[in-house]
Amino acid sequence: MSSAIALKGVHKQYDGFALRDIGLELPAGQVMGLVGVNGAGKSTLLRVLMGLIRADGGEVEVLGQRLPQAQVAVKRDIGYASDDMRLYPGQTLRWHMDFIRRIYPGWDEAYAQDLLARFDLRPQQKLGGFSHGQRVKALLLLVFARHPRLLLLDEPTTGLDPVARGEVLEALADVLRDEQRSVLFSSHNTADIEQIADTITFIHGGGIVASRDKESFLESWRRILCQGEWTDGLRRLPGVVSARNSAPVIELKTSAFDGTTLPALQALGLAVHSVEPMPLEDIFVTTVRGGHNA
Amino acid sequence: MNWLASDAGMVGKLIIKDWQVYQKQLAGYVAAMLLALGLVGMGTPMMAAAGALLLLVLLLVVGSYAIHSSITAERKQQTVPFIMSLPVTPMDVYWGKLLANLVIYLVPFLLVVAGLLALILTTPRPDGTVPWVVVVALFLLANFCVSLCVAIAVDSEGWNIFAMLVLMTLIGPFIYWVSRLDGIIQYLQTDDIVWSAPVLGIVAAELAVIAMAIFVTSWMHARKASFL
Repeated sequence: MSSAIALKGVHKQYDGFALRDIGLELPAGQVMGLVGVNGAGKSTLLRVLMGLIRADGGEVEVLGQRLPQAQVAVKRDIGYASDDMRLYPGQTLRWHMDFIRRIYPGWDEAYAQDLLARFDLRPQQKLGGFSHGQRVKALLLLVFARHPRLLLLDEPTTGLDPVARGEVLEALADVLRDEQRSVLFSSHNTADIEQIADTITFIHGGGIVASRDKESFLESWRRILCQGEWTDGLRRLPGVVSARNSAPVIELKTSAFDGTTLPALQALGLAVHSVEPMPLEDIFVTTVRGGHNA
Repeated sequence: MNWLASDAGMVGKLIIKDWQVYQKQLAGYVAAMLLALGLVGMGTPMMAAAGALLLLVLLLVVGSYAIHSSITAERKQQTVPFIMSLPVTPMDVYWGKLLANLVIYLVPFLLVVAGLLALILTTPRPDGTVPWVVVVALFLLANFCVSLCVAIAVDSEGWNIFAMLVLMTLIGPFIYWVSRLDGIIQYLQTDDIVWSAPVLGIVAAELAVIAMAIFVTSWMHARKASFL
């Protein structure tokens, strides 16, 4: 399977922040959720992938072409929307649609009309009169209606009310029915990521701390509550990212839960009370706080 | 280092985009300029002076408006990331912005200059003022071009305003100076259109300043490996 995105050893240094040794691959047709706190490097990484920022070192390949050298050719097939991107406030949505249609021959007017109806947007309204949610939906309409092969969405659902967020995610799910389309979707809202992503990548402090497919990710993490005598050896068990002693209960969070985990705990004299799957948000927070690779 | 745009067609689309965004406001300025030209053409010295002053002010304002709206305000409104996401290189965006501003300014500028020259040549006014009008008009154009290049090259709004104010303060002294310059002053009240050596020298210097401003800004942009 070819890669939509392939990064090797990518780094970029700024004053007070660095993108460090990024290695990442997104197979074509997959949806990757990029999770990180504010300032983790999500936007910088996406800008590198758009060719807007030149990395100090490493290899950046998008849709089979090197960046930033091939940025014009690559950007014809990328749909990019970011949280800090704004449209012209004095112009109507129809004007923006016509502008994009002149640039991209693949513009699908029928699909654009469908999105207008679904997003409840008025094409003759000026963007200056749009709410934040309407602005985001207008931006996504301009991106979706030209059927890009790769979508790079930087925090598209940030600041949206639940209804608008649902509409955007639903439209995104429709877009994803095309199996040839790849998506890299960044957010600090893990619920959105969990809903649509095939693969999940955690980024923190400018580095990738975890990147795996969603199912194995969620399968391998567990919160285990047990009782018994606390020993520091618990922290050293394979996969244990967090161990908290709230006597008489001990809470463990492991990133490598398998058939050997419970026998290992029982061998240390612990009585296991419950084993619970963890939501993605909890996994992310535990990973970041633990400073471990998941 | 690449000085050229990657796609001339795309640059054209960016120019048309800026033209469409600012055409309504521009139409307002053009209407005001036509009114001012009408005042100049009325013939009385008082009306002519008022019209000429209005034309000067409008040319300065339309230049400042174009630069502020299409460069400074767009940075603030965060429409630049939208443009950067299109299939363009930094040089495409640079040429698009530079040429769009020149077009936006040159439309009223040429209207005013052509209108003034037509008024001078078709009425009993002394034709000898033609070189003076050309020299002053080119100074205004050079003034605009330098302000535009500074605004494109420097992100700081404070420095842009400072550069614009400094350049504007030069206009009054320049007009005073050329109006008394040997090679111009002796023909202002005659019907002889004389392109004297001082006039040609000033015109050459003004064109050189325009070319230099564009060259330096283009060089600075050509060195940029990426947008950010």
